[in-house]
Amino acid sequence: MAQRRLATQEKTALDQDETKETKSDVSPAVAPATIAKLLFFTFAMITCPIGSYFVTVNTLFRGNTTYAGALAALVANIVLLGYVIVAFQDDKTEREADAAQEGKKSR
Amino acid sequence: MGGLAYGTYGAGSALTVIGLYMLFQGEGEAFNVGAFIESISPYAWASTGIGLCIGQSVVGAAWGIFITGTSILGGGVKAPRIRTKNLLSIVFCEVVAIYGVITSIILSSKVANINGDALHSGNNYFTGFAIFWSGVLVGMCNLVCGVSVGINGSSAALADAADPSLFVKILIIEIFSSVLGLFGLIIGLLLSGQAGDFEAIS
Repeated sequence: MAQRRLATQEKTALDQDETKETKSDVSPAVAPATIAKLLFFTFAMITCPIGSYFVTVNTLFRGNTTYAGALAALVANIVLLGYVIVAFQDDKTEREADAAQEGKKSR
Repeated sequence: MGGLAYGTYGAGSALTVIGLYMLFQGEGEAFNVGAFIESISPYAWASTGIGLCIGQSVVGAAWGIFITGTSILGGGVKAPRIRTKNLLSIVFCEVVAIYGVITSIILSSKVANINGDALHSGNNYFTGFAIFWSGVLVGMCNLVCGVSVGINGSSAALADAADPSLFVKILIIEIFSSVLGLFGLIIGLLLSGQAGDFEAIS
């Protein structure tokens, strides 16, 4: 026969002081280096194309705005390419680090 | 929707009645689209074009970052670490806005203050129209390109959260969609390159 549960003798969730201890991961989800790289490339993306336009429009291209604009677009794409390269290098090093950790764990 | 349809029908039928009345009373040439377009100042054309160029570009880039950003955060539920490569799509969207900024700077460098009637010369009208339409061209291209890069970036973020090896494949497609904005930029530069600055003597 089923035993009757006594509500007066049972501990509620509030009374349970000793909870199971779980490891909490307090490392930030976005590494500071990642934010620094994003901010650096955002800054470069704003200043480099516009700066190169104003520097070259009257000196190198003698007032031809079309060429200076094309150069500015090219510079914007170079900055983008730089970010892609940095991202893939980071990905490679992080994967190698992960693989090394996995190897340690399995040993 | 219903109210909008009734309004459209009402305005359409009223305009048809007025148009037919004027046509049969011998006043049909009052509907002169060319004269209406010429009555607008070249300054208005140029300024509207520059405004639409930067405005639509930023709308496209912002829309893309909005879609991509929500997906990066959503994918973070499965893969909490946000790495440099996850933020790649954001930078791709940013480039679209920079295209609009570059084009707007080039277009606005053609605008100059002209005194008196010299503004209404053929050259100045051509400059106004060229600036307006290259602005609209670049703006629309960048708007759609930004949305396209954003949706691709959103899929890249979700695919990367599920299986990191998929990221490179989707990134290649994302590069293709970011090139679309470049097409608009090139044609906008060519079109506005045909037009000279606003000048006092024609």
